[in-house]
Amino acid sequence: MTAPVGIDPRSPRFGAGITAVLLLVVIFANLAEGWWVSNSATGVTVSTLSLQNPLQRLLSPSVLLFAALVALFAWGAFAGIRRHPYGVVFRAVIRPRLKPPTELEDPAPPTFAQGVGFIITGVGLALHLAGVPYALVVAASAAFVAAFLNSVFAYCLGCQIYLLLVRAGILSRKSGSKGAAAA
Amino acid sequence: MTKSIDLPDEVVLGADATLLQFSTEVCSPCRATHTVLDAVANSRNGIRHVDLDLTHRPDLAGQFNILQTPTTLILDATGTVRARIGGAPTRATVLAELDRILIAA
Repeated sequence: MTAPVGIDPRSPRFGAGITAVLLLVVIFANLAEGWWVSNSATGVTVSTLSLQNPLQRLLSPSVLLFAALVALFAWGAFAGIRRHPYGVVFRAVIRPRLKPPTELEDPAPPTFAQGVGFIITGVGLALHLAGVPYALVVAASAAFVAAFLNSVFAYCLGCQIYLLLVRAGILSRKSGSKGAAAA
Repeated sequence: MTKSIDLPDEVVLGADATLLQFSTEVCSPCRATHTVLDAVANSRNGIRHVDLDLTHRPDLAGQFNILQTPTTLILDATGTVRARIGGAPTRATVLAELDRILIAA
C-alpha cells in the first residue's frame, strides 16, 4: 500500500530468530554473572550493581552483548528493516537457497516491531546502567518472548499493540507514513 | 443483540451486506485479509468490501472499539453490525457468517 517495493516476509523472521537466540544467551549469561555479594565487613548482602559505576555495569559480557542488540534494534527501527544487517545476511546467504517468496510484505510492520524492541531493550539497558537489579533480565525476557513468537509463529506485534498505543496517546497521531514507519 | 453505528461518510454500504475491514500500516496480515475479503465481495452480488486504514484515525478506532487489526465487521443491508471477526479470517469463515446473516435477513 505504502511501500513501492516489498520485502521477503521470511527475512524479518530469520532476523527475529537470531535475535531470540542472542537474547537467551544474554539472559543466562547475565544470571550466571552473579547478582549478590556479602559485604565481608558488615555481613550484609548487597547487589553487585550497587558497588559499581555505570561504566563498570556496562563492561560485562552479557551487558555488552545486550547493548549490541539494542543498537541492532535501533538500526532496524531508524534506518528501516531493509537496511538491517540480518536482512543483508538473509539476502546474501539464506535467500538464494530458498524458493522464491509467494508474496512480498510491506516493510512498515517489521520496522515498527524493531522500534518496539528498541524501546523495551533500551529502557532495560538504561535501568541496568542506573543500577536497577534484574532490569536487564526482565527487558531481555520480554524482548525474547516477542522475538520468539515473531520468528516461530509470524506473530504480528504491530497488529496487537499499535492501536492500543495510539488510543492510549503514547504514539502520536500526527506522524506521517514515514514517521510512523520509524516510530 | 444488534447495534447501529454511525459510519464515516466514505463508507458506502453494499446492497445486501458490507464487509467493513479495519487495517493499519504496521499490520502485515491486513494485506492478506484485504485480498480474501475483496475476493468474497467480488464473488457475490450485493456484497461490498470497505477497508478503513486506522493508522492516522484513532478516533475511528475508539468509535468502533477496535483493539487489534485486522478486525472485520459484517454489516447487513441497513448498516447494522451483525458479526465481528478479530484477526485474519479465512474465506470459509467469512462466507459462513455471510450465509448466516443473509438467511436471517
